[in-house]
Amino acid sequence: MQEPIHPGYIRRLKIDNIRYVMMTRSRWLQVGGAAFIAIFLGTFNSAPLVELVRQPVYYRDIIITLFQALLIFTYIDLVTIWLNNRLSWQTKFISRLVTQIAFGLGGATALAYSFAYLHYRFIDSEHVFGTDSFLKTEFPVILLFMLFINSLFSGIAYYQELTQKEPNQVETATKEAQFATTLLGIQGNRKIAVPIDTVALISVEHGITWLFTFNNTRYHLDEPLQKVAERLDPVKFFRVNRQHIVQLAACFSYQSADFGKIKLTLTPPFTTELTISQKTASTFRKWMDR
Amino acid sequence: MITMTPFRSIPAHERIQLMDALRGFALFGILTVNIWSFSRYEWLPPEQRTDTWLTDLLMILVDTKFMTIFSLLFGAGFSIQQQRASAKGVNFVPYYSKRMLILFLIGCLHAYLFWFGDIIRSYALLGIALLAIRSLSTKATLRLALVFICFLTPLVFILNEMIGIRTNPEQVDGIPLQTFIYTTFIQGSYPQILRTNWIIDPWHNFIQDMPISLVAMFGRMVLGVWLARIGFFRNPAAHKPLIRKWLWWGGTAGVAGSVGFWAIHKGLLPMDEPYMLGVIFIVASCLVLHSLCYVALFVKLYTGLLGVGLLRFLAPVGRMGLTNYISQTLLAFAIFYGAGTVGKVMPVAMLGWTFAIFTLQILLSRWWLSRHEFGPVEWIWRRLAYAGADTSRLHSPIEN
Repeated sequence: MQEPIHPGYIRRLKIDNIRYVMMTRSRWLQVGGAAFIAIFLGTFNSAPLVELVRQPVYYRDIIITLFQALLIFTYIDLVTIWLNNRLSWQTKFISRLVTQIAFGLGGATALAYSFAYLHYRFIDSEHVFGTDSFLKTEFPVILLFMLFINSLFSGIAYYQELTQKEPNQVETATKEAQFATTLLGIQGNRKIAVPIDTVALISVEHGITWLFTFNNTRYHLDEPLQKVAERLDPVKFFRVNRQHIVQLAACFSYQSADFGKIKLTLTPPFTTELTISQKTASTFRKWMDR
Repeated sequence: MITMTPFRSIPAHERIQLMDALRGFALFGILTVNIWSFSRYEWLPPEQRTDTWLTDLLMILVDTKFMTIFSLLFGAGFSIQQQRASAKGVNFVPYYSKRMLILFLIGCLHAYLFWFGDIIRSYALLGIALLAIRSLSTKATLRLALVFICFLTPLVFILNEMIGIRTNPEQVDGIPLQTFIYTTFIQGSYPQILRTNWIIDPWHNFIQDMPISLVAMFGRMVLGVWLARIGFFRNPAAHKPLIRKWLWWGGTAGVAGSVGFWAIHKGLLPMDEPYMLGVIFIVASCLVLHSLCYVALFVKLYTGLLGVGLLRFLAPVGRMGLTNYISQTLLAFAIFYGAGTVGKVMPVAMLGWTFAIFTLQILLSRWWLSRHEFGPVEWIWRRLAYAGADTSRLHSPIEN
């Protein structure tokens, strides 16, 4: 039943991981961080606040800075992800530090400098780039922000390396591939491959192992419950007691019963209420509430 | 064909909507009071203020009442989270401590970046203190609440007045403090306003107000814990006698206490007379009764014909209470600074703005919650609280 893991599967996992990073952690970090920087740079000046917020140019500058900051955030994030796959913080610390500074900080600085030049050249032409306070006051602050963003993304990458998130995912994938994708059900003389996702409940009655699908079709299994349990994905299936294994999607609700036990109600059409012992109750709750 | 129903928690795990609606109601009262500070009216020189009967009425009917309700709900929320954590086998102390630490940081950002009058930090500190009473019996919890409300709060009030701790500088940059604050808040740049927040905060919040605030709020929170333990919010219909008592005593003694509190603030009572010590103890107890009268009134309306309306309009505001508390600051500043009316809005107009801002909050909360499960600040709070933990536990319905 074991299937070898296709190299493409591992590659897809890595791509999914990057996509996950892009869509979740980075998204709120980028948008929130860029908004903070834009508002900070736009508002933190010597003009009285009550006058500043009534000038349209204030909002224009904030929106422009927001887009610039978003681009810089995205750039630093992409550089960090790119470096994560090539230079490990743990094994090649010096090389990684130098590369991160060169590309992450240096590249972002060049980008910010270019944005400022373009802004002063085409949008805010009253100021001549290089002659006002930009280089003395705003630019060092921007530099500090970029240093902070680099440290933040690098810190997250280092933390992820330490906790070895990616190998774990690969390990999970390996295990997933080892779990049964079908079970061989017996109906009369026929042996039928029952897809694992259609299995709602597996139970033992009078020493015979029975499999029930979600549409309440019953099959006989030619192996003991313990053997079946070993081949099932523990993320999806749980052995609630000696007689029953349930799939997560088949669990409709559960409620506490006397003496720390749990009563489990399955998705209709199953009407039987399963009782889970006090000993198993805590593990079952954790499994349900993941 | 069988519909595959995903696992759903039993109804008891759902949010208590009465609490959400009541929190929304409390937020309205809090805005009514805080808007005086947002508009910078409270820092105006006396000759520029137009205090009228409305000012006094708001002081009697609104000031401190809604903060009490908010504190009751915070305590009740603590108790409910504790119960749920226990049922789910979650180790509550580290979970809750982490949440409070993050709440404290959110409060610091709110206080220093926007408004020095922030109260979130006090809630975070008291939230950790509540952990100390988590094992008390229901009866002992009530007793402790009464000790704090009827004895310790007035005692600290008296000591605060007697010792008169004032560490605020008399002058800043060679200008009298009051003028400096007024000028900065109304005419200053954002960095100057930030600096003023930094100057005001230590003495105003931590030294001058913190002792009385912490003691008063803790008593109310413990009372909230007790209310949650007796199942008041889950099943208010079972507590009709209590609600009747609150209505009666709150509507009489409670309002009288609030009038007394107003008179003390106005300097209308002879504070140097020894019998006034007794009056302060009575007033402190009655103030809470006044808030409980509002709670009772709200529950009556909620369980009556107005229930659906209150639920529809106030519950979304309360469900994202932290977001709305902070957004009140931002919206008010945006309006008053944006319109150039900061320091120029007088009490009647302020009440109008209160209704306008709160209506906007109702609309925004309903719109947001129709698309998302949590308010934006609540979402960040949860993300940070669960950072490093199994992300699937983000769906753990412990909070209320």
